[in-house]
Amino acid sequence: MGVKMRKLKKQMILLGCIGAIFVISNMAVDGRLLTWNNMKIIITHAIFPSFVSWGMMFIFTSGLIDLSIGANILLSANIGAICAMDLGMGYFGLIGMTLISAVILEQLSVNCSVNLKIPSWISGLGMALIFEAILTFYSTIRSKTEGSSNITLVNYREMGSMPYMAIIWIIGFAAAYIIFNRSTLGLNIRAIGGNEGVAKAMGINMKKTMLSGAVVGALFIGMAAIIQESYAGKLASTSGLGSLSTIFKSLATVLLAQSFERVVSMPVGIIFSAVFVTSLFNVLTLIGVPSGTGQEMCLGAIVILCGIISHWRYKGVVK
Amino acid sequence: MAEEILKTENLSKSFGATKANKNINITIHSGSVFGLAGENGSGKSTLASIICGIQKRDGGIIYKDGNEYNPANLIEANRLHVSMVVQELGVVGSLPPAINMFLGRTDEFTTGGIVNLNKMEEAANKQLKKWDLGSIPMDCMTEELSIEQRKILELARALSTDPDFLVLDEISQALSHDRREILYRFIKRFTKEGKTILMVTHDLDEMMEICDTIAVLRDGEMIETKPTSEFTINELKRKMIGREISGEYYRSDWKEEYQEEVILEVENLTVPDQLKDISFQLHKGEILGVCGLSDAGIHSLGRALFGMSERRTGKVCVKTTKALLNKPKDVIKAGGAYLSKDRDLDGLMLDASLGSNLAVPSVSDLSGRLGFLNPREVKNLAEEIKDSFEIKATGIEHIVKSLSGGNRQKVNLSRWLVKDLKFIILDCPTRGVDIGVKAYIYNILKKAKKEGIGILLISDELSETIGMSDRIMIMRDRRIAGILSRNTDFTEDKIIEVML
Amino acid sequence: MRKKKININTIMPFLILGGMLIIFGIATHGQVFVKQNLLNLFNQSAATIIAGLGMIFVASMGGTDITHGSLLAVAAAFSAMAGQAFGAGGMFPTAILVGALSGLFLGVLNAKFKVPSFMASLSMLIALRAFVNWLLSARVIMVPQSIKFIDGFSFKLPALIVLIIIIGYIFKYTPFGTYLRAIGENENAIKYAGINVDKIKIVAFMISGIMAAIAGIFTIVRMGGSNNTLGNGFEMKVMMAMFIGGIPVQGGMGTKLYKLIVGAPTIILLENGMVLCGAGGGVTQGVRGVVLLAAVYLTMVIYSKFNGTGGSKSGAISKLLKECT
Repeated sequence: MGVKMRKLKKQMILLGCIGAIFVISNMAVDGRLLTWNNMKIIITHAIFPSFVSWGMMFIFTSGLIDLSIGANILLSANIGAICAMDLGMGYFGLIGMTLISAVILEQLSVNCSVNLKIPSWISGLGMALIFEAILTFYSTIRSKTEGSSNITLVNYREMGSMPYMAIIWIIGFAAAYIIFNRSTLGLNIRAIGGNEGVAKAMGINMKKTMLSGAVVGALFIGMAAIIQESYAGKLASTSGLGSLSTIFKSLATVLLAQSFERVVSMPVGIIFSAVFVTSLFNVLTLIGVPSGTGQEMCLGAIVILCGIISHWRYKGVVK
Repeated sequence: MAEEILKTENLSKSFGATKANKNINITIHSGSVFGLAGENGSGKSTLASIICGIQKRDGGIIYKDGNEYNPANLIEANRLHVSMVVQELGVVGSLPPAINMFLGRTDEFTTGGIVNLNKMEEAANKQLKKWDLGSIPMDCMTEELSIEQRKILELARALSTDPDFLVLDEISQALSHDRREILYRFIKRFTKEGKTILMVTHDLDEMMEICDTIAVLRDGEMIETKPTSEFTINELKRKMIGREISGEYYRSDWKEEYQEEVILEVENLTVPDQLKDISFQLHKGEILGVCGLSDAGIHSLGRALFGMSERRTGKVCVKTTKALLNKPKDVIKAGGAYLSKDRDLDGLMLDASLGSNLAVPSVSDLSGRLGFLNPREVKNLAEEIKDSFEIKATGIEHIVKSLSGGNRQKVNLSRWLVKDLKFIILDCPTRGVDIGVKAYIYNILKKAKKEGIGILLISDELSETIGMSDRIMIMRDRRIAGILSRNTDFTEDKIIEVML
Repeated sequence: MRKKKININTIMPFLILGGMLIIFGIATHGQVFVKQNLLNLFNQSAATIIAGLGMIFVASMGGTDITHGSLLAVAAAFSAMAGQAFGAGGMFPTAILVGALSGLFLGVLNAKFKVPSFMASLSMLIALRAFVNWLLSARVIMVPQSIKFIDGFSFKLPALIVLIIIIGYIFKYTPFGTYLRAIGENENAIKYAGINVDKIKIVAFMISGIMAAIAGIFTIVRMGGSNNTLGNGFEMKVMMAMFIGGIPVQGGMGTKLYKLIVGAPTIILLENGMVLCGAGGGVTQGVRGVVLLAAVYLTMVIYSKFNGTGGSKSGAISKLLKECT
């Protein structure tokens, strides 16, 4: 019982801290943070990083730090949009094809690391370069034939608007929670992340678990891509690893959630962290920090900060 | 005689050119405790892991309950009622204990794809109660449990597959005296039910006490199998190494003998949760043994003296120069060295060459002006160490990973001893080392003692500390419980009395 | 037997470079060997090698420093400003200071706060790029004419050789260099040898930052001025120069300087050759990705073959169940 009480106490403290930060920030921006409309904006913006982070959770926990996720989102969202608009497949094209391509792309990246035994962050970088290149290549052709280099999702955009977004968010949370904490796959992924040797000896098929985890993760990433494509209408191609900045907020979110893993379980922690990180940028915007320069600098600083927090008092060897 | 539960015929296994098991024939009867004795590298772990399906055999047949038995992995072995507890395995710290117990089999507790945690906890508690293993808290993460609780959890995990043949590989090492009693009680009950235990242990006294039959392996060959009552411990040792152990194995004198000069002075050394108020002096040419039960803090002492512990208070200093030793750097500067218990993890660069490993502690001494490090000098030093300490390798380019455990420890120790040392802290220097190298290391220690080096010998093996030390410092509950002198006090009874 | 394998490991980078020369020599009908292009190859390789001379310190420990692209831009921008304010003499000290500070920050993050280096440096890469964007916007800062001499072949080649000798000396012939590679093999072993690993790590990151900054000056002088897109993707180029040269990702004793020096022209030649063949930006980037993966994979395979002598006969279980507590 004592352990549970201690945990509850920690959760209360965490919640209190978040609340206090909000109140203080609210005062700093003259009450513009905690208005109904602003909170709605924050929630809307927190949904995309939440999904990306849940996806990362299923992939990163087993030790695969895949950085191609950003390029994956851009490429699969564009494929989905092309299927929906150009090929006239409608919602089926948008949802089905985005999810399918997200899964396939993720499998490519993860397989590359698992089968070729390349460190996952390098295989991720390599794959990100390749995915970006494919999209760039397509955009160059498209700009010649269609006039504009990126496809615009004109119709089928309900999933990027309230209240549908919020509903999808809640369903996504429930799915992430159950799979991560209450399914054999989730427990096996966590076992691999916690102690590979034990997991192996207990008959857990490492490769299969990691790859299945990547499938589940990719579904969440695909959902994130759909939501973002529907919300923004258009996702432009990037080059030179520019896609990395797409997932930076999510990276911060995952790291933050990881550092509070002892207090709240990851899927829940991700919701809190996503809202927290999004609010932070909301505050920055309210203060008047320009995006692209000042906000990006803060983003880098925040990821570093989250990295520090999540490795606080870590004793092992860090490369 | 009870019926045969497991039988091997001409079992063999090789790793490359090395034959780990050569035509092993054993017969194990149900309801007995069967002990496997042998030095490191004798093939006993290989044999155990083949039986449990962790490794594949190259040739031969295994019969279990009269049927041919050929498990593809540990899980299949479990299904055939064979299970094992391995020394190095451990648990997943970031999962609750109950899930650890049923890891890989969580599907059994699933309804509609969702795992029922309550049901699992109940089953876990039932398992613990069934074998009277004591209780383990369930509503926390496994990493919050003590090391011993985790070991018991591992035992329960092995038992949860309902084995009638259980392999215990070095399980008692991690357990304290009272938990060992629980283990022994369990073994009695388990065998009384007609079930069988295959025990691998380095502790020969334990083996003599518990096992009904002992099989001795040497270089992958089965030397002899007979009932324990027909073995004496000396005979067992002789069979294991294949020759008479010389009288020079340990020290032959029984005198506390060292120089007056104090090298290391420790006052009120305290590390929260690890050490309390440790004060002692280490003299020139003294071997000061340190022993205690598993959680007495003897290994923390080594780390703390070397300056690796956080939040350390108290004073560690070199008596003559008054130099304080707060960080590892200070210890090295003062002519000290520390060998941690885990040589592979904390000492050696396994994937690097012998030469690089031997040179590392000395490169700063070898470097001249502008930090110039002459590769030839480095090479010469490495060759010199290799030859003078008889390290068995093809050359200094030999990759350390492919050396035997004993030779690795020689590498680890020798590269420090060539330096101009004043004192050295050794944590289990003969752990996992075969008897031949063990004797060699004791000889080195005797020589070092003669040269006036102060040696702090932290050890899990009581016989080793008794055999080598001038004084033995016994720790209990993270404190010094007493310091005994070689002159009069060195009997096992007396030491155990202070320990408990 | 083993000797032969070492040889393959040793000559592999040269073989790749040679093969690349032949392929692109034929594919571009000898255009790569035109004098102007050769000079171009040299100039780009020089910048890559200089930056790599720093990165190799971090890489040998098994760490990662991918701040180089942005750091180069930041250092270049500041040094150009210093050049305008104090003349050419102010450029090098300013750049070196910027590089050292960035490296110090990264090193402290990695060594003291235990943030994985690739994550920390990735964040820095993005933050520093944003910083340059903010600092310069669309502005271009010109460098003083008096510094132009360092772009000449007759200065650059000797300068490059001197840098290689200095770094080579530190890397190969000092205890510091030995410790670096030893950290790549087993950090704990070095810690237990009483060596201040944190300090070594921080210094390594500082050297890495300084060399990136020096590469920045050479680049900016070549360009004539600094803008905010300078050095985009440069970090990948340097990283790939190392991997294609056969420097193992995990660092350690297999980290050799010559591999970088051969690897740099190889990767530059690859990109240059593709441009000459008329490949677009997308294709070039795609090939870059494939080459990165292939190079790392091949290095792994060769390295493990050369290192996999026998394996341990004892402790087969422990081998299987490695990484357990």
